[in-house]
Amino acid sequence: MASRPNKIRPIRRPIMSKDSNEFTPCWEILKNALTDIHNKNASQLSFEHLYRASYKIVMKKKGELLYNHVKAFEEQWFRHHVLPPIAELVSANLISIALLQVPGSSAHERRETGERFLRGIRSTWEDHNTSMNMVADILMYLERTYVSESRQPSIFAATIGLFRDHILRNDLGGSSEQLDQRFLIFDILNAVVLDLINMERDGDIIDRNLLRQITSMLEALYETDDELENTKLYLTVFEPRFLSASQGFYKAECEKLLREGNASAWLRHTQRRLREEQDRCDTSLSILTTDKIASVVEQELIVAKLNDFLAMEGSGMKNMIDHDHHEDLSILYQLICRVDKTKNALKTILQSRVMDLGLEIEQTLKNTDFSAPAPGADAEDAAEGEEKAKVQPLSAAAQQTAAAIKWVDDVLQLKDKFDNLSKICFNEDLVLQSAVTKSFSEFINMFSRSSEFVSLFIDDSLKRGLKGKSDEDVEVVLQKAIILLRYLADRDLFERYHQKHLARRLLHSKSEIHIEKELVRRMRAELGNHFTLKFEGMFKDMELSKDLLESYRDHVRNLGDPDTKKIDLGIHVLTTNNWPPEVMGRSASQEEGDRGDCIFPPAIQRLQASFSKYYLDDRNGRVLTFVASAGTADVKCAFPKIPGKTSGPLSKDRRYELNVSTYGMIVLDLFNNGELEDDERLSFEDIQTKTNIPTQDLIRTLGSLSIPPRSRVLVKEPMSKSVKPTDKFGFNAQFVSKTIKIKAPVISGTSKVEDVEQRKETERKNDQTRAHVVDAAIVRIMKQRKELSHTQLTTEVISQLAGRFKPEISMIKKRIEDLLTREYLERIDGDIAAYRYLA
Amino acid sequence: MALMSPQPNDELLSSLDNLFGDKAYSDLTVTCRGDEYKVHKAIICPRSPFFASACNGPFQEARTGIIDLPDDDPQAVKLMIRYFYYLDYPQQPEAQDKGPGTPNKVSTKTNFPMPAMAAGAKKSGPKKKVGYSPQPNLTVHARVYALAEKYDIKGLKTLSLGKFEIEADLHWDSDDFMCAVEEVYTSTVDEDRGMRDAVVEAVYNNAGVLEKESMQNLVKRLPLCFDLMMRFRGWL
Repeated sequence: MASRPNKIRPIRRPIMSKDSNEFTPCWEILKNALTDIHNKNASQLSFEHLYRASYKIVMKKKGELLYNHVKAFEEQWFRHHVLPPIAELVSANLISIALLQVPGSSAHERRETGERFLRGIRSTWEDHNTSMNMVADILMYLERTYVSESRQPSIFAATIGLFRDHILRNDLGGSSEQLDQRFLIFDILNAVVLDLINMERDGDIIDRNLLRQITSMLEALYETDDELENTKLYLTVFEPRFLSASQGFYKAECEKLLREGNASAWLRHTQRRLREEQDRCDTSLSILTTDKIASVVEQELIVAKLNDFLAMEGSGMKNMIDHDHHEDLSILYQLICRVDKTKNALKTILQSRVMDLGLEIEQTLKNTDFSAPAPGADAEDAAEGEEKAKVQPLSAAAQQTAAAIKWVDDVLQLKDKFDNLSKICFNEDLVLQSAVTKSFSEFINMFSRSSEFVSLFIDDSLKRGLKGKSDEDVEVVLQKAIILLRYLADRDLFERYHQKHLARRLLHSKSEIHIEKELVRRMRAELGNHFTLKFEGMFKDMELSKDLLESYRDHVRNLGDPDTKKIDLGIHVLTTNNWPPEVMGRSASQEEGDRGDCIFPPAIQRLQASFSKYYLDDRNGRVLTFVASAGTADVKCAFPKIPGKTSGPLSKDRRYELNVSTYGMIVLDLFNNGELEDDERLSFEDIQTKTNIPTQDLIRTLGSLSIPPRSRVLVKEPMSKSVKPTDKFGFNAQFVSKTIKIKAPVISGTSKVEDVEQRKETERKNDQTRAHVVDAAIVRIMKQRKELSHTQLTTEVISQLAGRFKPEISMIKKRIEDLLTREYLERIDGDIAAYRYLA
Repeated sequence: MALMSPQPNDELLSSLDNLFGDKAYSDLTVTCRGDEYKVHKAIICPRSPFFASACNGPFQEARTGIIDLPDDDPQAVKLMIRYFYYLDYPQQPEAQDKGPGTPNKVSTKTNFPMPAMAAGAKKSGPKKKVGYSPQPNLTVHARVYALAEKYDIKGLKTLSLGKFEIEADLHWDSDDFMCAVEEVYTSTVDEDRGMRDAVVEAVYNNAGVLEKESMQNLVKRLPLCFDLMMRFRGWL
């Protein structure tokens, strides 16, 4: 508790001395102090003492006087003590080196002279700067009161500006005798600094620290004492000169690089220069310049001659891509990203390279001889134990298949190459990725057989490859398939091929269903539901058939009618729309007129009747057709011993299980029923009459049973390598086989590239389908829009169908004409290029 | 006051309380006519450009670690040092004989009433001794204010001005007020309006004081005359 009353002491007023002329003694104190400060004797000065002196002067309202006295003192000091040594540094030699570029002066000499000058400037500046900071501190109170009230430049700004006015802007009394025009010390300073920078660019070692201190000085000085941020001398005087000098330097350097003609060297050089300039800004100049100098280098070294460098023979971008010069391409990408966000130059070359390499694949394909089987294929064939192993060279069809697979492999390899580039060099740049993808799509679709080849590749991989392969391998194949699929524009065509190939694989159990399903699942994800509808229908048919067959077998067992000559039935009930017409036997009937179905042996007919009855029992209204062309049969054959033979296989009875096509089974049955004498022959026509098998199929069937030695259970007369309608056939009682199970080669079991005729046929069919699809699209659009111009309608149709195929303009036009005649549409009066929908 | 678990703010203030006059961490000595204060640059320099420059420059003070203020009022200096540590200074300074340079550790509760408590005291009249001196300290506040202005300690200016305004309202007719008026008009530059406005306001609100001869003399001598005229005219 402070309870004692407070005494009020008399006011002492030491500050307010009666002596009103207190300015002079105070100024004397300060003036002496300023001298001491300049002479670096400040450590003996009392800050409080000096602060008080200026405080007193301000209290006396003599702030302005003090301000002016200080300024005058500093100016005088400058003239007498600072300038003379600087003037001495500006020797005639320096002027001639810095401003006249006198030839003959060595870099070493220039550097020595220049650095000496800069050091002189630096130490003067440092002294001045330190002193002015101290002066500003002492006069802090003046600053806070008088200077801020009177809106004068701060003490520091006013005194530091002396350096600018009296040193940098000093012309040393007019033009020198060596120079015609007037010059400033600042000009010399700039010239020396720029010369040093150029020396460093040429590989000399210079005093970076010195440079940094000089530029810091220029950053601390302003055009006027107002010290506006954007009027730093560094920005207003030095930087523009630096940039323009650099521009000249790099322009020349670019020309030199162009003459040397090595794009890879150019890339590395440019990258190094960019790094150097950034480094220079960090260590020698100012970070304010970093971006500006970078853009100078970018402009002169990258943009100016970009296309020339990219197109360089032997080292340009084509070369980098072809030889996978990843490092070069990475640098190139980084450089181009700096100057062009669209990366057009890069994009264009990449695209044209993809196109060229893609077309090269096609060219190679044409020039490659596929008659020698690929080693892989050879091994596969041998493993399958088929006769083909000895077929060398490969048949034309197999060659085509090999070509398809090579094409796919090449395309995928090319894709891998560019994917790699994207990943390693282009930072997975989306713009470039989509450009490359576009080009891929373009060249793939320029190749007319791409859809077919892709489907064949899938067929080949799934059929032959996947058994015993790991999940990873399967995954690779699936991915490849989908990647290729993405590129295809004519997806409807692919759909057609895939349907055909898939049907064969399914019916002949050539592939694993879960992998097929996975592939289709991915197609659906990629291309949408409608694309895979049929494939899924096929899978469903297969599954339903399996269940159906089991329940049918149960049904037969329950009938309690144990047939001694029981025929085991395996059946696939296929929904017509889901399966390709070729498989459904429709194409045959179209070609040869309605010949009716082939004639099955009676035992088979009974079986068919039994199944049909069972099947149709609870499925009213369905029609069940047996497709003989798509099935196979296991036939047990007995070959009695040949009388007179006592040794060798012929001396015994032989029993074999023969796996043949359904047609084969029908044919064999003719030789089985005992109606024929041992050596009786049936002519081709006889067989055809009795079986009603289409000619082409019959030729193939008889061929497989009578030509290859391994399955030659029929003898053909005359013996030849092909079946002619005039041939005769008989039972080959002498047939011998080392294996019990024999597989007669199923001609239709392998998918091959179509020949020209087949291909035309496929395209014709496809175009028919397309016509319907286009019709539907036009009607759908017109129904909704009622009236449309021709162009609009065409555009709409194309965009609607983009996911499936690219309709030809001529086709759309034709379809419109057709719809006009069928009165779905009418032309709008007076406007020939517009249509109206007719309900 | 109930004991509460320490709040972050209290923690800082109590640590400053501990530092006050503690030689242990002290790295600077401030002297004023025989008074000596062991202080801390970290606490003082950031709040006053004067002290910052004195400690950081190449001058003698930075070398010796001693700042002498021979020309300043010891009492004001003492309160200024107090302020640095307590963000306040006592209404009624301790007696001189407690010994300079060895300030007592005193509870802030008794000796440093918070402004809110001071305001409460004002309402209940000067007779009540709620940690409040019945004696005016107007001159002291004016000197602290001038010192704060000289060394550019803005918070202290605000604080002393606030104290002055409260007391001027109560003690306008005291001799201390007369002294304070003279102090205000002579210790700072004309452009500094803070204290001047407070004086003009007090005289304007209590115009009776103009009847005092001592006041009349002041008005005659000082620019207060002009300020008052403007105020009465309603222009200030």
